[in-house]
Amino acid sequence: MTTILRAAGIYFFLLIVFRIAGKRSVAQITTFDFVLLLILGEATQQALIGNDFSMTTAWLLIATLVGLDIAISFLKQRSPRLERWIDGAPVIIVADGKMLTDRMRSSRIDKADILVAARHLRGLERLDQIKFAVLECNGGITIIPKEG
Amino acid sequence: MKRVGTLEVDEDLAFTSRERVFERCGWAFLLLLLLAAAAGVFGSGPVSRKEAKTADGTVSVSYSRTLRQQSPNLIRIRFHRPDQEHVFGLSNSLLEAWTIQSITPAPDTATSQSGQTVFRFHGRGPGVIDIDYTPQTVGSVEGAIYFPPQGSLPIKQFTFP
Repeated sequence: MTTILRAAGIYFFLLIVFRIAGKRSVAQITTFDFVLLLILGEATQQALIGNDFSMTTAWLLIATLVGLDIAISFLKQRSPRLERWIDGAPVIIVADGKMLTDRMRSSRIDKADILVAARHLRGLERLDQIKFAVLECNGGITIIPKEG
Repeated sequence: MKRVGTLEVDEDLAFTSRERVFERCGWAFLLLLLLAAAAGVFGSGPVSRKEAKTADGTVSVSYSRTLRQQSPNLIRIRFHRPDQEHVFGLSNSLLEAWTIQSITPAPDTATSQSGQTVFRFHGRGPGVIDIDYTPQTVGSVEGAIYFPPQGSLPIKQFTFP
């Protein structure tokens, strides 16, 4: 029972902390972010297993974490409101080549981030070539270029 | 689904605004959590540390009021009187909540009596005894350290998971 409670505690704590951290924190992973994720994994592992290295504990942990993930996905499907609170909502940050600065500031995105996405995803050179840029729920930026 | 120009997108600015407020509150909560941890609310800090003395002032005990499960901890017992016999008892409630890793110096005898285990040492006079232990159970525990014949000191602790 302790193993299951530990796994559930860690799962929900991580869910809340990553929700609080915002989309941008994991959107464009740098080398340092990757190292940080590894350290988080190490710290979490100790709290999950404690001194118990048995295979049964590992099975229980995996079953609990995957089970919770399935349960949450079912709940999200039934309740769009819950889905919104867990996954967030997309935000338009560029419309008709014009930056929506208030939205960008509150999402901690700057012009350079949008131009990086525009170059990387669409090979665009300038902001005025962008029709829409959308900050998606997963933290990525989608670029829709102007036609013609 | 909302439509912005030709773009069909599930945008909800009212929700996004609430989400930002939630994020900011979350950051404040994280900051408070870290400040509380630095102060020792979750153990190992000035808020957690407690120094208690027996009524006659001959023995003092320093311990943590808040602990973390399975995290090593220390109780330090100081005997102050020159002719004092080094003997103390730990109530069973504490022994059930902890795993004692070591007692330094090692006791010469440990005997179980009604509701407590008494540790007796050959030493006399001023001295220090350290109990290294790890709390095993989550939640609050109440017990006492007995110092025959001087009396006892109540110990109240809370162990975080």
